[in-house]
Amino acid sequence: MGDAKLYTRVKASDILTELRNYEKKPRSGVYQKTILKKIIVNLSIGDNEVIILASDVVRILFNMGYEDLEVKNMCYLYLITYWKHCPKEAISALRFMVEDYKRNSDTSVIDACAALKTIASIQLKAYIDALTPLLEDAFNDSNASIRRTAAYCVAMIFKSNEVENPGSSPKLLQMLNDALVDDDLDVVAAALNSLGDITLNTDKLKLSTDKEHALKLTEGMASCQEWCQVSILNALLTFVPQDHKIAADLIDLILPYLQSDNSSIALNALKVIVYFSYYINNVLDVFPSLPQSISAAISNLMLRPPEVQFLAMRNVILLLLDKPALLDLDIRMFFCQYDDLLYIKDTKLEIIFLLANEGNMDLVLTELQEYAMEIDIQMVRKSIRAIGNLAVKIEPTSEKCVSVLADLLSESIPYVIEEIAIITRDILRKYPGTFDYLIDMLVDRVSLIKESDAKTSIIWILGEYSSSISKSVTLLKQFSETFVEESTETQLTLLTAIMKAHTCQPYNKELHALVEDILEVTIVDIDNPDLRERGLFYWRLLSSGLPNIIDIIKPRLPTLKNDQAALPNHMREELDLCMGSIASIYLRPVKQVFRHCKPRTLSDSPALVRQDLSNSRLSNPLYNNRRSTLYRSRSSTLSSNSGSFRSRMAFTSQRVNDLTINENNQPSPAENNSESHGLSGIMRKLSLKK
Amino acid sequence: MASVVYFLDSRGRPLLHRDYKWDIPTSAVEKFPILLLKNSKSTNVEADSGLDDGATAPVFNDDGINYIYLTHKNLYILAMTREDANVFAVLCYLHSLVRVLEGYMKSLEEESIRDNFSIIYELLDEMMDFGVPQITDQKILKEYITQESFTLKTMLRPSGSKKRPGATTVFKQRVAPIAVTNAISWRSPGIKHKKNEAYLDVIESIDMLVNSRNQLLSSEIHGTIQLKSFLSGMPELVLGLNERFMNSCIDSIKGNDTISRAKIAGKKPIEVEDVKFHQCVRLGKIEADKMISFIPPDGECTLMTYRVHSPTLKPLFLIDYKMRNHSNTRLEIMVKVKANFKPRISARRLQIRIPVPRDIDSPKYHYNKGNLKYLPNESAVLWKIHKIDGGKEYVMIAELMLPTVTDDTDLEKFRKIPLNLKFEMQGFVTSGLQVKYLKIREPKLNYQSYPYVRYITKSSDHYDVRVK
Repeated sequence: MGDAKLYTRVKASDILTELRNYEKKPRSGVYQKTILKKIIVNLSIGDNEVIILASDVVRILFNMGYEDLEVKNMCYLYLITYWKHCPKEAISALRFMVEDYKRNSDTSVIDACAALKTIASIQLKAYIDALTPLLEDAFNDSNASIRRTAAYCVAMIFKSNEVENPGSSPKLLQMLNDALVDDDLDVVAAALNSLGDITLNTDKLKLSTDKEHALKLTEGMASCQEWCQVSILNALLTFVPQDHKIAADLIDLILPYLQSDNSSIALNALKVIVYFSYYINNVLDVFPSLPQSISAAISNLMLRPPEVQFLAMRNVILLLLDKPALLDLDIRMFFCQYDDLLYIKDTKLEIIFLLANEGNMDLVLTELQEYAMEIDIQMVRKSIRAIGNLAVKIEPTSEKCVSVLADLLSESIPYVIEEIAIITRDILRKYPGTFDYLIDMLVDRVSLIKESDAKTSIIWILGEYSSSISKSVTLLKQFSETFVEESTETQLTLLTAIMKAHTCQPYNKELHALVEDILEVTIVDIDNPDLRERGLFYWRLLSSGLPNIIDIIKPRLPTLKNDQAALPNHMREELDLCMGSIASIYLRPVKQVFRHCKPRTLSDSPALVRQDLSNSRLSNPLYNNRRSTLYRSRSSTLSSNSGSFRSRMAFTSQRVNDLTINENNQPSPAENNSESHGLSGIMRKLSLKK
Repeated sequence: MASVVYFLDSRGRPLLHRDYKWDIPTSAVEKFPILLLKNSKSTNVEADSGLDDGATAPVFNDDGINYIYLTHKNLYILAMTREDANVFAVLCYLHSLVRVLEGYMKSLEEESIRDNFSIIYELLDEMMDFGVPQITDQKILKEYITQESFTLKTMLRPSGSKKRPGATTVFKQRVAPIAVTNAISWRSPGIKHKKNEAYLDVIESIDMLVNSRNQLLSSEIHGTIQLKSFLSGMPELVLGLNERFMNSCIDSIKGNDTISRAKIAGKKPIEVEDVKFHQCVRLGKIEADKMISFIPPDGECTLMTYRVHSPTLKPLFLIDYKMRNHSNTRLEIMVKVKANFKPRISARRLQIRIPVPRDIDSPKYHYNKGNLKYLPNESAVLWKIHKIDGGKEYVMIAELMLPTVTDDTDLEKFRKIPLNLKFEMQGFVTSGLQVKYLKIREPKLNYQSYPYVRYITKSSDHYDVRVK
C-alpha cells in the first residue's frame, strides 16, 4: 500500500481529534502509525502546525517505539526537527533514546547508531550531558560503525555549542584524536572529517598530519569505501611534506586514484597531486607522464552527467590559468555538442579560448565560426567575442581571425554586426593600421546597430579614426540626432568622439557646427552632472586657446600590451588549494566567497618549491590583460573619477592629460584594482555586459 | 560538506528533506526557484512553465548559502551548505543518491517519493552522516534497509500478508552486515548458490560523428566488461585478455605513449584510454602478471571500463542524404543506408532518427525495408529496420507537407541536427579486445563452474551523421 494518499496537508487539530478517537479502539497501533505518518508528511511539506502534537508523538514513541522500528524512526525524525520548539517533550524522550542505545549496542548496530545520532542532533544541555558518557563508551566499542558514528557525534556537539559546554571539549577532542589511529580506516576517515569540520571554523585549533600517518593513510586507502577515500584524500592536504622524496612517494601512491570510477575521488586525487607538486623539484622530470594521466582523468570526467562535467571544466580552467604544463588536453574534447546545456557550452567556450594557440587555430576558428552561425543569439555573441579576443591574444594568427570576422560581417545579421563592432575596437587598437578594412565594412552596416554597447564602440571608432573614414562626420551627426535618448555611456563617448573629430579636422565647418550644437545641448539641457561637467570642461578647453589641445583631447593611444603581470602568486596558490571546492566554481579566493573562512595558504617547509609551470603553449599574461581591457567597456572609470572632477578643474595640463586618458577609456588606476574582482573577470569575460 | 538535502518538485516546492547540520534557514529553500531564474544564463526569462532549460549552472551562491543541485526527471535534488565544501563530492553524492533510490523504487519521481517517504528518510539517514557521504553502495544498503518499498508498478497487487498489525515493515536481522566494516566491503561471506555460474559481457558502445561525405570526423568506443556472477563462497577469479589489448591497457595506466611503442614493435596499436576497474580488482597484479584477478561482488557488476580511440575505424553505416525543398511548401527527404561490414555479420534494431522541421503535415513514405514513423514531439522521422545484413542497402523517401507559415530559420535549424543511429550487433567488438580465459577458483568449496562470454557492439548516444 503506498503512502501517497497520506501525502496531503492536514490540519494539526484534525490529526489530534483523530488520534483521540482511535485511542480507545482495539488495534490502535495501526491507526497511530498511520496518524504518525500524516504528521511526518506535514513536517516534510513544511507545515509547522504539527508542533503542537509533540507530547503525543513522544507518547507513541514510548508505546510502540521498541516494537516497530518504522515508528521509532519517524518519532526520532520528528524530535530532531522540532526539539527547539518543544524542549520539555524532547527531554522526556531522552530516557527512551539512551535506553535504545544501550540495549542495542550489542545486538543491533544500526539501531544503536541511529539512537546515538539522534541524541547528538538534539542540542539541549540535558542531551549533551547524557551523550558524553555514551560517547566514551561508543569510542571503545568493538564495532567500527559505532565508533564511526561517535566520531561524527563529536563534531555535531562542537557545531552546536562550543561555548556552552567547554568543560567536556578537551576530553571529546582527545577521544577524536585517539580515533585517528584506529585500526579501521573508515573510523579514521570519520575522525578526520570531524576534526576538519571543527578546525574549519575556529582559529584556536589546527589539524595537521605527520609523515607516518600520511603514508599509512594513503597506503591503506585502497581497502576503505569510496567516500572515506575522499575524506582521506582531503585530509592529506593537512600534511606538509618536509622533503621531496615523501611528496613524490605520495604522488606515486595517489596516481592510480585518478582513474577511479567515482568522479569525486578522481578530482580530489588531482587536487592532492597538484598540492604535493608544490613540494617537488621539477615535478615533470620526476613524473614525465603526469600530464597524460591528468588529462586522461579529465577526459573521463567529461563523459559524466552535465553537472559533473561543469565542475570538472571549472577546475580545468583553474589549472589552465596556473599550471598548464600539467595538462595535455585535446581541444576537441571541449567542442560543443548541439544539445549541450547552456552553462556547459559557456564553460566549454572559455576553455576553447584558453586552449587555443597557433597550432590549433584553424581548427578552433572553424569551430567558433560554426557556433557563430547558430540559432542561439547568446552563443553567437560569445563566440564572436572569443574570435575577437583570440585575434588580440595570439598575434601571428590575428589575420585569420579577422578574416573570419569579416566573413561573418558580410552576412549583415544585426546582432552579429553589433558584437563585431564591440570587438573591433580592441583589434584596431592592438594592430593599428592593419585591419582598417573592418572599419569600412562596419561603417557600411552602421544602420543595423541598435544596442548601446555596440553603438558606443562604433562611435569611439568614428571619433578616433575620423580623418580616415570618409563618412565619419555625417555618421556622427546622425548619431547626435538622438543624443538625448542615448544611455549615459553612449552620450559621453559621442561627446568625446565629436571633440576628437573636431581637433583632427579643425577647418571642417560641418563639424564645427556639430561641436557647438552638442556642447550647447550638454551644458544647457542635460541634467546628468557627469555629462554636463564634461561638456563644460571641453568648452573651457576650447576657449582657453591652448596650443596643444590635440594632445589633451586625442592623445596617442598606448598600444595594448601583452606583458601585464599575471595573477599574484599567492592567489593562484590559494585557488590551487581550493580545487574541487565551491571556491573553484566561482574562481575566487575563499575569503571573498566565505567571509568567515580561513584563507588557505601553502605551509612553509624546506621542500616547498614555487616553480613555474605556466610555460606551456599558453601565454597567460596576455589573458590577464584581456581581462582588464574587457572591464573597460563598462566605463566604471568615469564614475569613479567624477567625484574629484571639480577639484581638478584648476588643472595643470599634465593633470588634464591624466583625465582625458581616462575618458578615452584606457586602462586606468581604477581598473587595476580589478584584482579585487578576483578571477571573476574571467567568468564575466565572455559573458555579455547587460 | 552538505548541510541539508532537499527533494523539490518541478516547480521548486519542497517534497522532503533531511537536515544534517541545522544551519540553513527554511527561507533559503523557498528562494530556490527564484534564484534559478535569476541566475539563468538564458535570455528568454519569460520561459513559460519549466524552470529548467539548462541555463542555470548547477552551483550558485546567494546570501552566503551555496546551492548545489541536479535535475532528475521532474525533480530537483538540492544540497545546501554554508562552507567551502568539497562540491565535487556533494554533487557525486547526489548522483549516487538518485541511483540508490532508483534501485529501491524503480523510478524516482514525485509520486514515488510520496509513496516511500519513510524509507527515503531512513536511507538519507544511513547514506550521510553530519553531511558527509557514507555508504552509497546499493547492495550493501539493501542488506539492512529492507523495508519493502512500494514501487509504482505494484500498485494493483495487494501486498503480502502481514505478520503483525501495524507492521508493513519486515526487518530482517538488524545487524550491520559485516560488509560495512569488512576489508572486502563488496562481498559478504557465506553466499550460496545452487548453480555456480558467471556471465561475462564485453559491451562496446560507439560514439561516432560522420560528415555528409561519409568521412569519419571523430569516434570513440566506450567499452565495459560486465560480470554477472552467481558463485558461492569467496571465489577467486582471473580474467585474461589478449596481449595486444592488455599491453596498451597497462601503458595507459602508467601513462606511457602506446602508439610509439607499438610502432616500434611493428604492430597495429590499440589506443586504450581511461582504463578503470571495479574496486574489487587487485590493481597491483595487473602490471605484474598481466592478469586481472579479483573476488567479485555477488550478482552484477561493472568489472572494467575503458575507452578506445580508433582513428582508422570505418563508419559502420554509409548514409546518403538528399533533401529537396519545393518552394517552402513541401519537402522531400531521401535517405539511403548501406551496412558497411562483412556479410556474415548483421545489425539488429537499427533505428535512424531523421530530423524534420517542426509541425510538418501528413508525411508520406516510400521505402523498401523496415517501417517509418513520425515523432511530432521530437520533430523527427524514425526509420526502424529490424535486421540489416552486412553489405545490404536500403532506401526511403519521405514527403512532408510544411505548415503554411514556415519560418526560414526553423528550416535552417533542423538541418543542423545530425541524423542519429541506434543499433546493436552481436558476436564481435570493434576495439580488438578478446577474452582469452576466465578462471574461477574457490579455495574452500572447490566447485565446478562455467563462465559464458558474449561480445556486443552497439551505438552510444551520439552515433551521428551530419547531413550538411
